[in-house]
Amino acid sequence: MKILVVDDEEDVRTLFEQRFRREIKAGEFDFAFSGSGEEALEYLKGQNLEAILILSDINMPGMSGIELLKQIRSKSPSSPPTIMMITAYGDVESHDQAMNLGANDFLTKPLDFTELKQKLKSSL
Amino acid sequence: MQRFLYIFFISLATKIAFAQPSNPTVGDSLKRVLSKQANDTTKVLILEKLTGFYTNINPILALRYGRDAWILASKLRYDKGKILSAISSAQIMLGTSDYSEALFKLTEAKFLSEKNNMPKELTTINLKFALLYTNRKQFKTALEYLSKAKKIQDSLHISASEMPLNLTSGFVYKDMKKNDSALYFFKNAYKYSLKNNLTFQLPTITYYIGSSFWELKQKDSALFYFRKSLSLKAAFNEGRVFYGLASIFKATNQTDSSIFYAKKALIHSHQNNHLQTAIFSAQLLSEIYEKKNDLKESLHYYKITTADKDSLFSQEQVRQIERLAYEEQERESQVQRKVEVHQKALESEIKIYALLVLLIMVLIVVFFLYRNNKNKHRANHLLHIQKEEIDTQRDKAEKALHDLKTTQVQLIQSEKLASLGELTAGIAHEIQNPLNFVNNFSELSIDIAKELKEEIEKLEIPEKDKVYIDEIIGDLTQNQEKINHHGKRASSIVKGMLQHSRTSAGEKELTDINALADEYIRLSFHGLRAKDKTFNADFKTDFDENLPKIEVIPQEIGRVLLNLFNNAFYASASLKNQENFKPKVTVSTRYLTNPSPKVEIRITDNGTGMSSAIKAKIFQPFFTTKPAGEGTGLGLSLAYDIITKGHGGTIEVESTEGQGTTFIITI
Repeated sequence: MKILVVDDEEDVRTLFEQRFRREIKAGEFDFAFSGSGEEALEYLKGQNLEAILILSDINMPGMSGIELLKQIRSKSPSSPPTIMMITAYGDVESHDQAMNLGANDFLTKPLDFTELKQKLKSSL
Repeated sequence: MQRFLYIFFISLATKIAFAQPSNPTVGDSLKRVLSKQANDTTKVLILEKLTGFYTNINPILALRYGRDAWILASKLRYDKGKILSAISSAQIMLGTSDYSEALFKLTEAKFLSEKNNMPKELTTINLKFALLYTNRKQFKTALEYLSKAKKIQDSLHISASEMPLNLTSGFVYKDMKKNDSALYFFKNAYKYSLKNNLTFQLPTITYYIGSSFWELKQKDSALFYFRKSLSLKAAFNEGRVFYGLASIFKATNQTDSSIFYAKKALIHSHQNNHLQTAIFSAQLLSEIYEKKNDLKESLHYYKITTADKDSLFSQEQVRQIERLAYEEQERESQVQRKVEVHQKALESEIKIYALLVLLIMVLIVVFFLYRNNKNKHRANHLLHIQKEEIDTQRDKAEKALHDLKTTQVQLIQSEKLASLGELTAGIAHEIQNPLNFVNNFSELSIDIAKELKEEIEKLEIPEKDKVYIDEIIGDLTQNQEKINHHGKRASSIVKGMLQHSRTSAGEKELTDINALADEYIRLSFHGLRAKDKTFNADFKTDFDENLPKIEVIPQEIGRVLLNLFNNAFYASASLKNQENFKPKVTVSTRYLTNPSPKVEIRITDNGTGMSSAIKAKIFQPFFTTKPAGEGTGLGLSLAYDIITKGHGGTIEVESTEGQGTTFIITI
């Protein structure tokens, strides 16, 4: 199972790689990273969507996470892939919007990695 | 016969009244002086003297002098001359029974005398009036004029008029057949004339005394005065005196004496053209001769009587015509007087009406003044009311201005807060991402440090080095924990800041504020108790049972209430170390109906209170009085936003330093 993390912040990659070092080494999690919505869509082309879990930030320059969600869900209205949206604290509007557009779950920043780990494990 | 005799005496009386001496030389010398005299006031007086002189001798000539005197005096504007000539002319006219002319002249003379204040002349004029009215048998008027003359004489002590007054009074009373009175006045006139040597009047006066005595049948006295009159040798007077004697002797049957005096009377009367006396004398002779059966003589005197009567008749006829003319004139003058009286009455009426009109106008003016006054009072009252109204309005305006200023300050404040809120929210959003990394990496670093420690444990290195490495890893871990702690602290601030810009997720619904307040005060209390076991305070609720449910976002209002309760408990609990102090928080609700229905929530604590400087800043974001780390300074700012922006209500604070604080929310 591939976990595609979509975030414009470069450090997210470092954070995920360090935080899940053990899981990555154990082959439990396989992370891929995209810096934007467009990049993510490009990556998804030719991929087996059923084997991918997308973890996307909402607020990004260029294509936002919501737009990315819209485009993915426009091609495959029902899952896969599993899509979890990440946004800033208390952005209720984005939460509602994402859930309505077919997001599978919702996480708020700052990420609680213990909670994320559980969610990822249960989704894989 | 008696009446005829009476008329005869009166007629004579008018002719001889105040007669001047008739010495012809006087007249001649006066004429001589007149011919040389220039046309001045002296000439007027000379003409007047000539008028008087010829009054009895030649009335026509006398009237001509009188007229000349009048014309000259008029030309010279010599009023005294006009008065004297008018009096003299009137005297002549009385003698010729020309009463209307006499009246005209006397009226004119009276007017001038009054105008020039000449009392002596006015006395004479009044006496002439008395004679005029006596001749007209208007005795009442005659007596009035006598009275007027006497009054003037008494008031001014004009002795010169005493004789004429007495004499005229005698004539009037004699004409009234009051012979006793007449005798009294004639005797007075006689005494005065003797005393003052006015001899020219004595023949007339003595005649009238004799005549009066004979009227009173006192024969001897009558004879005495008749004889005295004759002794004074006044030719114009002798005819009537002789007739008087003849009458007395006839009455006493002394026929011869009677015939003797009657014949003398007839001769003198003819000589002086006294026809009336001549008729009486001839008639008396005819009667006596008839008695004596001497028919021839009787017929002779009868014929004389008839002839004289004819002559007198023609004269009488002329006088009668004049009299008629006079009466007509008098009638006219009466009419004129009536017209004048009427006119006067009319004038009086007009005056009365004018006065009435004036009175009405005055009343109208008074009414208007009164009304104006009343209006003024009313206006003043109105003004007073208006002033009070203006004062009230001014007070209201001042209050409104004050409120406006307060609102303006609040608006500015809220605008400041709003823009500050938006700014901070923007900043917060941007800060949050790096802060997230700080938190995540610090947490991760703590985990990595833990892993590192575990890995080093596995290595076989000297114990001493292990201890040192552990110590270093411990420090790193501690530092990461500090970073994480402060990162979370910053994060909570950012969360608070973001709440300002966050669109409310909740929806307004009918909410029981009493229940909400009760729930949150308990939540606050127990929350604080959970955090701090030593915390203790009283809380009290005082809810309006009639409070209606209102449309609010319950989560938002709950957040505000929780914030305020936390603050209240914090403030009151901060004094817990004071002796006998019991921290206490009260929440009360009230339903306000004026000016518009609203719900009021009051949260009161008995804590430290605030200074006005602090009070002014408490709704600003990041303002806090709590120690660092204990408060973000965003609670009240957020409460302010929720109440004012979210619910259109107000939030105010009342506080007295050292006594406590009350927050008042109205929604």
